[in-house]
Amino acid sequence: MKSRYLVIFFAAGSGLILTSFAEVNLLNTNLENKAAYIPAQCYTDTIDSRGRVHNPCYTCHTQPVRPNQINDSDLQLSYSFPAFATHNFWRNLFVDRTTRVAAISDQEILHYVRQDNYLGADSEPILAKRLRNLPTAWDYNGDGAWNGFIPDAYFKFDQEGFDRAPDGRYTGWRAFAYYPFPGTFWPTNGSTDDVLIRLAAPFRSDAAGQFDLTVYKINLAILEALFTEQDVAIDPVDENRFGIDLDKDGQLTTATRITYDWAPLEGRNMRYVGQASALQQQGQLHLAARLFPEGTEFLHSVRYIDLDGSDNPQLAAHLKELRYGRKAFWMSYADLRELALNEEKENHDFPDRLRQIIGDPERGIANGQGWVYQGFIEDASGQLRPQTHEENVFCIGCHSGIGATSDGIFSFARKLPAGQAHARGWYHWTQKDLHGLPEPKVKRADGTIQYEYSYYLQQNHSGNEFLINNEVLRRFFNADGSIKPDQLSALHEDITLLINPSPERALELNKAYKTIVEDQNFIQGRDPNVAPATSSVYADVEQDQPTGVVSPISTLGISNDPAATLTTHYYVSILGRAPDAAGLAYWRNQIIQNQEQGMDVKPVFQEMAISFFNSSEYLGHNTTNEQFIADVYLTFFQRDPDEAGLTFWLEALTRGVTRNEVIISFLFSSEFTEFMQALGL
Amino acid sequence: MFNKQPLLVPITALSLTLGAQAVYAQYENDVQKAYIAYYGRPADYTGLGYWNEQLASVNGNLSMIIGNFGSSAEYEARYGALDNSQLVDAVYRQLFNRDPEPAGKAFWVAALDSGLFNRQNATLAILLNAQGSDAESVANKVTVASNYTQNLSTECGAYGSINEVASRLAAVDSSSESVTSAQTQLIDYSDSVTPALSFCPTPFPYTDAQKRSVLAAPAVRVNGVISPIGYNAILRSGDTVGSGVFGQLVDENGQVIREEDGSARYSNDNDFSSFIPTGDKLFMVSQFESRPGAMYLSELNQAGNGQISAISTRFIDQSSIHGGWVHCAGSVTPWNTHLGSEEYEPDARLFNFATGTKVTGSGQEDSYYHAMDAYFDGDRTQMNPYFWGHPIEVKVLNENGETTITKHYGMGRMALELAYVMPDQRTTYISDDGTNVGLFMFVADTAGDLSAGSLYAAKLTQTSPDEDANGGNFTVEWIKLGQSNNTEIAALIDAKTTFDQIFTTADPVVDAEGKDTGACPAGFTSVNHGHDATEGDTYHECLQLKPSMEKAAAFLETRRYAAMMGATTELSKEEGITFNAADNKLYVSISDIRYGMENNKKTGKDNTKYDIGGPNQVRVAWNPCGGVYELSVGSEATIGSDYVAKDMSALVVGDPNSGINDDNTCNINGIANPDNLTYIPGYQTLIIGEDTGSGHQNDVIWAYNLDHRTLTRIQTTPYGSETTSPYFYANVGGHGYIMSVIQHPYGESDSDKQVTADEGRAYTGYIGPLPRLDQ
Repeated sequence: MKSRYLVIFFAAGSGLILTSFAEVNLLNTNLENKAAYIPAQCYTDTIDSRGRVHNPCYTCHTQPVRPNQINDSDLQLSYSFPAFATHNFWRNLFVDRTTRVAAISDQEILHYVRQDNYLGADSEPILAKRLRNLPTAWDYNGDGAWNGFIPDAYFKFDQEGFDRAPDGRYTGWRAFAYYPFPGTFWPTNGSTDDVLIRLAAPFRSDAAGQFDLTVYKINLAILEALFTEQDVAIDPVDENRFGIDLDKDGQLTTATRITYDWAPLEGRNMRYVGQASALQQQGQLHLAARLFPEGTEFLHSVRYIDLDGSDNPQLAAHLKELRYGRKAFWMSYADLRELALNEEKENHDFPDRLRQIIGDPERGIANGQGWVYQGFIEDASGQLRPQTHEENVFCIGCHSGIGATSDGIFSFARKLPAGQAHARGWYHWTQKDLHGLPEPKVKRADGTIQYEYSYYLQQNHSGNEFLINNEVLRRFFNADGSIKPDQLSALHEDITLLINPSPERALELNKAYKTIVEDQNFIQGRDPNVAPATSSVYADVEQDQPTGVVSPISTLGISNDPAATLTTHYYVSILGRAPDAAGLAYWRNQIIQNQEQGMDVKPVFQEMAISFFNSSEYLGHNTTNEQFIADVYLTFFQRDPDEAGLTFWLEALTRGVTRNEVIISFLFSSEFTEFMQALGL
Repeated sequence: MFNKQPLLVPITALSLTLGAQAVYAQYENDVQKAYIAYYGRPADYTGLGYWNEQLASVNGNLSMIIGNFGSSAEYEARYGALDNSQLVDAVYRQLFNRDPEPAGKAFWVAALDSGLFNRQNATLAILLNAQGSDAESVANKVTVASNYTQNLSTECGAYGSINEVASRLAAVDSSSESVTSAQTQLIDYSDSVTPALSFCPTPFPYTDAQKRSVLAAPAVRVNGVISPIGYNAILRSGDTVGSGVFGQLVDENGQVIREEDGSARYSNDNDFSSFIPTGDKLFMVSQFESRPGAMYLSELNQAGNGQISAISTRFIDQSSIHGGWVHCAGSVTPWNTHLGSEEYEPDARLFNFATGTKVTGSGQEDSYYHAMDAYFDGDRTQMNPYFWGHPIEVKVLNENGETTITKHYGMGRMALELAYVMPDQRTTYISDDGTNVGLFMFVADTAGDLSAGSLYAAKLTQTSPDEDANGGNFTVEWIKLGQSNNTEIAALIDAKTTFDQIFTTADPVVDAEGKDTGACPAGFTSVNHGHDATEGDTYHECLQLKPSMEKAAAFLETRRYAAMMGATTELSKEEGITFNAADNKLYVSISDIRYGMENNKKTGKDNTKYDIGGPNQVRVAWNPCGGVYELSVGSEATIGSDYVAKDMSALVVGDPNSGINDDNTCNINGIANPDNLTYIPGYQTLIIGEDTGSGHQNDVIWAYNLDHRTLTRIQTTPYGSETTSPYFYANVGGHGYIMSVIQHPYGESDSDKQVTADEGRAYTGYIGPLPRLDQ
């Protein structure tokens, strides 16, 4: 028998693994960058050519506010990467896009960013239709259906910020206004964005399960109270509708505020309203300060920058990304503490261990604290597609495991306060943009209050983490690197002076980002730099290399509560310690009661000051006259005594003026009055 | 085994001469064919499973695996030196048991010479193009090979020598007699190389489902008899049994510690659990690696078939020992008590004894330490770092489950992984877990009583060359640190002896640029040892002992004092200890051979941080996969013990050069970051548990046969979890057990299931029930 030989034709292989980015593969969950959860910002070279140290790190890596127990403020001090991550995989930062950017005309890019890639001609979300007719290439688990989030928002908001479908139906999404987080998220750094929240159905329904808008609004207000740990103003509502004493005045009448009063160990609890209320009783839904209940969802669109008729930056119709998060299950304070302690031990034992991220492109990825995240991003033609696994992993580092967030979320604790803001802070940027927003203030760990963005400029000497925002540099800094104080003053009144780009810059950054979209290489970075960032970003860094920052600083979130702020300040500056919960609550209450009755709050502060300075605690410090005067200056003027002042008051005390009289003089001084006014008192 | 870089050479058409079979089995057969073609042998159990899954994931596209096969060391060893003509001959003989016919040979040689095929493609193509009796030969070989590979798993046989097995397979041709003959020979061979105790291996977890499960060896073979076994959980952290909650944390008053939202604190870090048979009852003492620490006593029920369940659980009051701290591994003493540990002792140098506040090296408040505040209801003035870092002994007094608890302050203080008592009931080895740590030995004055004795620290002298890639060989001497007892040391602690009362410190001498020269000012001893005084800084310290403080230094600042006395404080991540009495060998695991153990390097790169200012006694090459060391013990008259370790050398190390991917950077058939150890006497089997990150994606527990030097996988744990404290019991109520704890299965949650925070709860359980192994 003659043997036959099948001729098998072999295609030549070059032996190289060619990753063709233009066709991104959603079915591949291998990570090229095993540390994709460490974002590009972390590779910034914090020491510039003049040897000056910049600290952009503290905004994320900071002392936390409980129940977030992750204190990663030490990361400001050194590049403590696991060994694998000492190489910077975010290579897009080093790409020179100048030529490609120059080749795109302003008209072209404006035309591009004005194309709505979210809603189709039928006013329905394009992604939703595509996901319901799932392309095989997107079907990770091969079951023919999309098992993840199907976008169902319309981004059409009514006067209360609620998102409405074309038929008028409430989708449940609600937009809110918030102080943009310092750095990358400022439009001057390339993107505009927004945030929507939706609570699970029981929070939007009455006890009988029927949709009830008032129930929803109240529950959102309760959540706002839980996240700011302050009372929240609401439109007058009859508490009898819900059977819950929302303002905790001991009666079921009309309430105009949600009173924040949560201390379960002392038997003081808060209750949701509507159907959520019963489920909370049964233990199926939970309530705690700075935690979202089960089923809470967030939607965050990241967009190009459009320009209106007056060349003001606006949200573009064209989305860069649509980011989604959902709270899948509850983790208690004990669960979160256990998690943080374990992580601390892990980092100690195995500093080179990389995080294991569980999930896939369809079902999203888990952040380990109860949340699932996933996102959609542009394909090469500008249409939205699901992100690959590695593109999703990019999200998880910031949305878990850092000190700056509350329940993994940045924005909600930064919402414009219900008592002061337009539409109680519930509106979308397309309804009212950022112009005229005053600069927010933050509490620092040492108890002082700072203007947040000014403080950022002073610590970072730059307009973004990568230190490459030259426009902000020119506007706010002199050639020698010193800051321009009159610009800061203007900034206090209107944040857009800082955070909005010029029209030229907006278009340039749009173009730069578009080149990344064309290349589809998001896993190498999404930040739109035009010139390479080589001089201020590391390609490789030594493990544990010092950043030059000597002492970590921490900001503990937006300070919206002047009464608490000032009370805390008193404790810190007079008694030298943080307030105990009972003391803080008592004095705050005194102040607020006075305010509500339209009375001047000065007498309360007088009483407080006399009380503190005469307390056995303070008297136990046995201060000399010098020390006492220093304490008084610190308390009322937030500064050290000047020589003339110190001499004057020492003489006065020696002459026989009593300490209490000194206190009262300071209390009624114009400097202190200004200080209180600045706080909003 | 496999090269990490796959070559992508697509094969667009394949001819498979086998009949229609289930897709799954078809891939297994393809894998066997690849093994036969490339290596001339049956697939090993792990390889079969792994490559079968790889093939299934690419719908059977063989191009993916032949790249790996064709470029592996094994292939090169077999064919590398042959020219194209010799290669064709060899492949024909190996596959078809004949020389190639001239026309066929001419075709293949021409094809290779012209570059139409490369050597890897040609090998497989020859196999796949087999016709007639050639095809029958191949089919027969696949049959025999499949039987042999499966034989390993169901009959728990060992694979044996590749050459031996390959030679028997080579004899298989197209005749049925050759099949029968080879099968018989292979069964005999397998029996001859299989030890008295062998475990049917658990597969390497390669599917997502396997990676999220606990996989255990399905059976064990003891003297030829096979018994099914599995992993069984006794309790999970958070389980309520009667009135107790396993792992719940309480304060000094026995009150459950609650967080602000009312949730009760608990620990998911179950660690060592001991079986303590007492009278007719069986108790378990379990400890938790948390701050505050916790210890629980559970009463167990043992069914006739050996299955164990818990009847009750209660916390063990630790208020008499100032609370417990990070209870890690442990052992059972020869007198049947639980001997536990306290790891990561807080560094007293950074502690303010007046305010009770501890800071980290960067001046921030140390949240790791202050997690302990909750035990004292926030009253920091009650806390003292010298309370923690000591062994703790729990004795079950009677069948009512009454217990006593003793903290052995007089046994030294360090980051105690565990203390292990030798058969003389006096000599005790103590492992210190961290960076730049020592190895310690305590010899009790009286047998069975650890409350008084002498403390020694090991000094290693390297006898193998510098940069030894095999972990190093050393002689071991013992430096006496002191002699004391619990009462004496407890008194020092109660008197609030401070760090500053024990030592004067000075900064190291720096050069003009501020760099550490490695020297200390006159009068100060230069040491390099692990402590948390420095973050990102150096481990170099300059210490001067204050007068008459030797005892305080020896027993409260053991590692510092040991370093001052010239002992070795360069070891890293020293973990488990166990003892082989028959051969007088002590085993100690080093999870990651790095840092101080390197020669002025850090993970292979030049760096003086871990050696500067110290004697640099250990100078081996970095091995991120770690190793298990063997120490010979014998008599030492000056110490008065027959169990003194004299030398130390690596018994088995992991292989960091042949991982298969970034999640398994250590060879999957070797160890990665060995943690705790336990020994099965009489069967020459050392059980090695791993605690690894990227070494192996799923931590493994291995059974290592000392005679055959073979490793068998007997348990794997889910994603991101840690397996700890394997501990062997030869006979509890007529059954053997290997205790095994699985900590934090998924630190993360699983988004595609309705999972709750529950999934993070740890398992305390065992592999078994085994037949009794004490005969």
